Amino acid sequence: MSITTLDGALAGCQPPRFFFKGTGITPTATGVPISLWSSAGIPGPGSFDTSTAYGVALSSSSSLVNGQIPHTDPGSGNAYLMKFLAQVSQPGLLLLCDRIWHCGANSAGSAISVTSTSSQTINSNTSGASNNSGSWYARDNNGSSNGDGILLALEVSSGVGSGTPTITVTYTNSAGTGSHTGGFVLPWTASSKTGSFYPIALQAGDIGVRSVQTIQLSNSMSSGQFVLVAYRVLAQVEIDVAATANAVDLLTSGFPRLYNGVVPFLVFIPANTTAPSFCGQYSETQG
Amino acid sequence: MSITTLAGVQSGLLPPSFFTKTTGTSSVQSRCVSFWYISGYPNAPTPDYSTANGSTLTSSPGSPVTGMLPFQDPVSGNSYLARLQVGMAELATYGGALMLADRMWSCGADNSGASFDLSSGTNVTIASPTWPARDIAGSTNGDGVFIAMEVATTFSPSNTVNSTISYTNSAGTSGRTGTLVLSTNSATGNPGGFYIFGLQAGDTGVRSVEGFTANIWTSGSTIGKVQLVAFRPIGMVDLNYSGQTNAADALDVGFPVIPNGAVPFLISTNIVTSSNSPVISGSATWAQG
Repeated sequence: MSITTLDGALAGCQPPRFFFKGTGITPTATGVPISLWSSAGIPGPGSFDTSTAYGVALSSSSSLVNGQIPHTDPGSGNAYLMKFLAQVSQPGLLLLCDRIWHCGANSAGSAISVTSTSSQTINSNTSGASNNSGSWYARDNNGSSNGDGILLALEVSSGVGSGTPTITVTYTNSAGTGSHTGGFVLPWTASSKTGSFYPIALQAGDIGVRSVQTIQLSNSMSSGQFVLVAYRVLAQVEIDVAATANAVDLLTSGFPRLYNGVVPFLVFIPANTTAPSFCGQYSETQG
Repeated sequence: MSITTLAGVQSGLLPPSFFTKTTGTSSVQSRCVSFWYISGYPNAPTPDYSTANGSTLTSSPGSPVTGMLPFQDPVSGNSYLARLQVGMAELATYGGALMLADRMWSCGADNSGASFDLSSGTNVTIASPTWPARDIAGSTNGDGVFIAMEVATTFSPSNTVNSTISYTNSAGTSGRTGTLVLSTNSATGNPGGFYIFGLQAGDTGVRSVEGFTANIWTSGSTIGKVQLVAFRPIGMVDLNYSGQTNAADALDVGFPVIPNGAVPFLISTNIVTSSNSPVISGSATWAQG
């Protein structure tokens, strides 16, 4: 079953959820995205994992994940985004994303080194207790685990030092081709702050990531910690002027499907480095 | 019975409930403002600083709560928010957003009936009553219910501070701590200032409040009064240009159910920093069926 009419969308409206964030969110630089995952507020903060080999595949189907905007899977049928509204104290672009997987540890279960320049094995596709047996949950653009539309980012979980490395991530694309590589979309900024969220580029022809094999830094970050994140962008709203609000509804958002187990979280691309605050509404329809 | 079609919305529409309010003497960008104690229409109620543990708020047909947007339970079926419209015509520079929320509890006194001492910095005990059954699931558990500190009379904090609450979450786990999403600072203690408490990791709402620590006034400043408020947001409308008016219709606002007994009130989630007194005007339209 699926929703194919406006009446259907109306009939399936779920109670909206709201978010309020504003403490400890400090952009590293203009244009460098910042994740609100670990920030205090409503919802409460999420956490990072730096000890689970192969990372943690995330799903809200059995229980909510700390840090996510609340979601409950439909009893039957599908879930869709009905509305996403945000007011932000600074201009920029706010992304609503589905957090698919995060990983702060190598395949041995040790925290990813921020000082090593050797290749570090991740192997998210290795079966583990916390990573859905080595597959993303089936939440890519097509509701599969192949990875179409699933992107990678490096998220700073603890403010890093003054080193300015480049990065090489080896991954398998959504078509199943391995040994593809990606680096930072944006240049790394020294002393990046907690929450900084650096997207990782795809190799030519790729449209998503199925799994991650290795990560390598060109030189040391000196200190701090980061995690790798696999995510899918669900919607975005533009904030043209500081402290204004904007919204997308079921039509202007493209009525994206929210697959069972979705873990909605927010990423902001700031137009300046002033600490922003956020509030907004997230609504689903199901049927 | 419930409304499941656009035709059903149309046939169930009620006359709009209008509002017009000023925002008080001044405001600060990106700080929330509650219009509960702000003059205008609906009229502002008188703050209560003496009822031990505060009072839950519930409307009933013919007996609205002073300060609420006009709303009345349906004879049968459900109520929904079908349209929320607002204009912030006096704002000089920025727009913002307006939130409609259900006010469930106001509390201006601790469990002994004493108003909150804003200078104490020590925890006072509160035993909040059971919320009305108006959380997201229509229960008293508190899913989707948040707590805010609402400024009723002006205070002037001398520096940035963080008040806290201790609460029981909607799953029934006690001993949780909420800290302000945005800490206060000077010039923010004007009537209507609405400081929302964040939740501890994993929580989705508040079932009850057990304690409050206020430390927002020091010698030489202007002492004022605050209340704690339990509220559940229902819907929002965005304003993305100066002086703009905007509206969200049934589909755009997500067609949220308005529970019986609701006490709808307004929170602006952004007001420009201004020494003027901007005015908001608009309407909320309910559909019942």
